[in-house]
Amino acid sequence: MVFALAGNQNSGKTTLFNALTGSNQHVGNFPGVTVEQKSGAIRGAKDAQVVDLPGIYSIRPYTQEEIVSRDFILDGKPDGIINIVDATNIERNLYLTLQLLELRIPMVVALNMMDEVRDNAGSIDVQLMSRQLGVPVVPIAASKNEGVSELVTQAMNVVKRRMLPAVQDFCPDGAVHRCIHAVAHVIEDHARAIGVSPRFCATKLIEGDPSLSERLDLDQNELELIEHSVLEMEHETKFDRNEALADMRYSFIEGVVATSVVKSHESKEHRRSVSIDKILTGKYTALPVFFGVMLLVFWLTFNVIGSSLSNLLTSGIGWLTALIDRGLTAYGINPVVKSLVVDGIFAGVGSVLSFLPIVVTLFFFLSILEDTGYMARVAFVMDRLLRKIGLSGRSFVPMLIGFGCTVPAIMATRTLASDRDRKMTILLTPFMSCSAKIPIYAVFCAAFFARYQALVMIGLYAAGIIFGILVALILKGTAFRGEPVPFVMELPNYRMPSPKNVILLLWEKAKDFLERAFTIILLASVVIWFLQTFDLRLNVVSDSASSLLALIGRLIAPIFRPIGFADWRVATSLISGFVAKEAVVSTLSVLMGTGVSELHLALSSLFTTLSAVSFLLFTLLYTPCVAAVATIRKELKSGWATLGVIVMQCGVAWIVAFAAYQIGGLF
Amino acid sequence: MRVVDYLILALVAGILFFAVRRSIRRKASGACSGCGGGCAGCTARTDCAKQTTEK
Repeated sequence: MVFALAGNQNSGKTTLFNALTGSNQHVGNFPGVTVEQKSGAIRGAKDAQVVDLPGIYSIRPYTQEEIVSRDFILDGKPDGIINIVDATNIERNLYLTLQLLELRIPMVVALNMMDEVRDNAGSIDVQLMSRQLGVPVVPIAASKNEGVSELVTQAMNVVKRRMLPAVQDFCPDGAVHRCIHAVAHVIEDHARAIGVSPRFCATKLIEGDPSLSERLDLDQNELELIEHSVLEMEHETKFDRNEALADMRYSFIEGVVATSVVKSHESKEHRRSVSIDKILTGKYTALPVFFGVMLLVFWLTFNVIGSSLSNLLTSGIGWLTALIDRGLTAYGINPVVKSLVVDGIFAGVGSVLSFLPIVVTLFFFLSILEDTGYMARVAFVMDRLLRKIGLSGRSFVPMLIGFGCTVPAIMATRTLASDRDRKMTILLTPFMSCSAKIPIYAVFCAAFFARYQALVMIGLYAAGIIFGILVALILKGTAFRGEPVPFVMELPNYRMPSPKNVILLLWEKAKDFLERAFTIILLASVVIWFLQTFDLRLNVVSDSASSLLALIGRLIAPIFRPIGFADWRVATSLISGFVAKEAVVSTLSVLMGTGVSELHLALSSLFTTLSAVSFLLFTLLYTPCVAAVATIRKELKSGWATLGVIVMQCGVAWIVAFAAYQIGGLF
Repeated sequence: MRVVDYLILALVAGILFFAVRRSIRRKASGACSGCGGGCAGCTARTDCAKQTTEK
């Protein structure tokens, strides 16, 4: 038995999903957290699964989220629907409910956040609303697990008894009523053939859903009849087709709400949010506050908490490496085997591992900002700026995720409604500096800019954004002409961050980082060690300059001569960075034959301060890692376009590094 | 090379084998292999956890 969990964004779907299944999905105080459907078994209900669909406002196939939800409901043939409705915002939420009712699938409405309604002196006559809608309505408070077991009982009941929603005619007599019924009559046989309710198909066809029209396999005559009915309705109502249907639904909702809902007072959370927003989203204060907050986060991460913890871990790793080194020497282990363990594995993995505290600290602060609801405001604030470069505030969400990792960020572009915005955002997201680059920045900052670490870090992040903007401006005037779609986003109330959410996020971040260090970085370190220890005839070399790796590195090193780092070891580290960005540090560590604690000292023999700046800019902007490239390929559905992204990124990176190195050399 | 050297090499080979297997399985499962985190907003994170456990 499969239930679809459908509802508006930020209505508490993921919270209810977690309560139903006992899982620990991340709950964002940020609309649009769910993009793909997730499923889980309902606790305490035998053979019952629930599928958490992306948050949607209607079943019009407009955004990717709506397409995912609609396709699941039509093709997945769920046995029942659990429609979660935010009781504090009931009119807008019921708009989706009415469309779901038209599907004629067993359904139960979960009135969520009833605790907030009660706390603010509101009430809802659940029995009356249930009669008006023709389906069971269950009041719940998902965050407190109130009413969830009753919801499960009701949901199981409607499915077991195949209780279809009572037939509702939302349309009072008139032009809209006549149009819906005329169209339903024309397509009835086709709709039954594909197992979808004729009423649902009729309203979707009136709204102009082309894919449903194809699916119903209508002939030209039937299409003309439908169009004629719609035009007649538009003429009589003086509304266009979408307005006419929206007006019909909202008129019905108004009637339901007027009789069964006693409106709550404005909640104190909302009042508080409005006051805070006067500053945080104010016309003149929003951007200074945002940059101030980010500066504080970076300062705490790179100068205070994260760096101290990182230094501590570096000392621990250094101590352990020295201990192993001494132990292997004392046992008279073969020098090559010892080098593999100490110079390959410990130097490579250890150099990346020591940055774990910095990554976790940065995401600790970012998760707090997200959980409080501030990041949703930032997207709103950024809309004005992003519009100037041809994007909407909605594109900020993937870009923000891109600061963590480009892979999910590229996937998050599916939330964008327009193909133009989506492709443009995919091209720009890799310019946002991902967290895998933090070890590179940290080690170079320690080596060359020890006193200004936080400032240089912010500078690098800002540089990524600025170059992204410049590329966007070029794209806007060339390949992506046109206007971005309007940005509509619900701003959640501010709330205290949930310790559970923050801890869950940190644990996943740390686990992921460790897993990468002990899989892909370990492999890369051993491969690099092998290539720099042996020559073409697989003899051990006395000097790595005559190794296999040096041979490869020297082939590409000339490309980097004009930008200030022609050494084959640097060229090699950039190649391994294509596998994973952290591998740049582990490769340099292996090739320089140092642990991470001495790596920053060793780097001064390879770089000047100016060439270090050039190197940092190049690593900031050059091709994303192989996993990100694979995701771009998947999302753009074109190998050539993906190759274009790689070439563009490398080209931009080289030009910027060249300009920085050459201009810097003049002073 | 003594026996202990071969033992260490075998240990390293074993670790590498498991590292490769882990990476391949993560990638094959469609999980974000090679991803540097950012799980908060990741749309594939359920699949990551579920499919890795299943295998």
